[in-house]
Amino acid sequence: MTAAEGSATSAADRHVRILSFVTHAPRPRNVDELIERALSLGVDVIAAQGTSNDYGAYWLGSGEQTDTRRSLKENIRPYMKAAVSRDIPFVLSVGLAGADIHLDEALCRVDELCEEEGWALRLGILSGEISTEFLLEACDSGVPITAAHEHPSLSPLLTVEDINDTIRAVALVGPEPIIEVLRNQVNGVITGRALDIGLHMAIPMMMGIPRHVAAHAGKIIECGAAAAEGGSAHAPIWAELDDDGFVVRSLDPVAPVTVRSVTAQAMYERSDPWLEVNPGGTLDLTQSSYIELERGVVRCEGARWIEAPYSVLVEGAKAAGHRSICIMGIRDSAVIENLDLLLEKMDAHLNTAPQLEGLTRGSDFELGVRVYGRDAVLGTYEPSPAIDGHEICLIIDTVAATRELAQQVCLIAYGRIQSGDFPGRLTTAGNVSLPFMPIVHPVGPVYRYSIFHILPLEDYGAPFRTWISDFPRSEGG
Amino acid sequence: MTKRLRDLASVLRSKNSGPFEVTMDVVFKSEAALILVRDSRMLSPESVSAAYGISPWQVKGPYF
Repeated sequence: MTAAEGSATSAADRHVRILSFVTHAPRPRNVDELIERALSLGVDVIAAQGTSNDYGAYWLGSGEQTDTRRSLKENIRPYMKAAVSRDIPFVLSVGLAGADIHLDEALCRVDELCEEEGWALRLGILSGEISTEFLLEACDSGVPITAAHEHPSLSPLLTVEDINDTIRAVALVGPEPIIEVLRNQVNGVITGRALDIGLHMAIPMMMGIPRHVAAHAGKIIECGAAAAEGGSAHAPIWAELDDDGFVVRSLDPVAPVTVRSVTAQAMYERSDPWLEVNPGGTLDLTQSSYIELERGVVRCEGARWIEAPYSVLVEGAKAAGHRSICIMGIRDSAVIENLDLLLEKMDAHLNTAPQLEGLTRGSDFELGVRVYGRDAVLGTYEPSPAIDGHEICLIIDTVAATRELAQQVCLIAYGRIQSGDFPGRLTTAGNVSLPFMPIVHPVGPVYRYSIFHILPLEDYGAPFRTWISDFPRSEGG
Repeated sequence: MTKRLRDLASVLRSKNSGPFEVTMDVVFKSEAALILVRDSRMLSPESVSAAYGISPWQVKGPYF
């Protein structure tokens, strides 16, 4: 990692230029042009996030990822090309949920990429997986592992039972363990689950940029060109950091960076727009400022860092049964008017259906109904749950311990809506239309968060495996 | 005169902040619009919780 080491430059001369993108977002058609523009401005670091909890616990529990084998490779290829040809260090996270099963899959794609391009790369690898043994030990020794959010599905204090239910767990690794790996003369680092801003902070911090500037910049550019007008995380973005702040520059003239786009990005996905709790401290943006220097270029300053004891967010997934759904369309005004009655009759039938004897709703199976056109998006939070259109979509959603039971319950519920009677019914051939066969669709296994807790760490690297590998790794390697 | 939030905003959106929270972000078109809304106190834990039928403690904001 020669590029980032021995930075004896004085504060006044210190500038670190980052090219940032998102590894799981499909690349835009003009990606080569955008990268070329960044290279002409100068690039010292390429950083990209590829992990997230946005899509819930499914990916962590199942071990799957959204990327097909081809897309991850094609998404990162042009950036890796730029990095390899110009010896630019890079830090990438991969794998969506970012456990070892996801990381391993992604690293195989990196092998293929190196083989196809004829590259020989020495890479540092940082696992984001945290073993249940580590968590049990922490629990045993009395370390308080507290829920990151007050929520009925999370134990306020993590329990042994929560850990034992967990299929696998990851943590949002901060910049410090990445920096440790970068010190091993590597071309770059690839991580599993990691803190997005940490990926962007690691090399600038090694080069002497203050932590608050690196964190603020990371926050703005972590989703690529989402910080520009048009808000597309598919395209890259460029920033130049110095000791006092940073400038963000669009690489695409049709999608300029503006004060509007940058301030919107500053609060993106954050529960508090001013204070962001991170491993080892809080990023304080109460005094931050954003000034447009010229069209498409915004200067950001004024961040502060408030030190705090080191901790990481841990995510764990547990199995929660199998889901089946039935999708129905209704366009008869009399059926729509009597929908509540039909749903009540369906509910009553589920308690008495002979096929479900001995089974209890709520413990043996769960059943929910979403009425699109009424309140399906917000559910019970909908302020005006009225149907004012001429058609609705109804989705019955069942979850049970087995796929067979989920299918059966869903089919029984469907039947009551399809042929349920109501006063003035003329639709004696059926109340609903079915757009898709089979009637009931097995969606697959369901996963929920067993862990979404803050783990205090005395040694920030302790739970995480790191290693160095030469890519492409030999067969069997 | 009634003003709609969407007419005063240049960004008005909701997004999950992790799996357990939803944030609603507003970037106002002008400082005057921000001050108008802030000082009206119409965005409060009480008003937001009433609109969505939840408890005030479930609303963390607003943050101006």
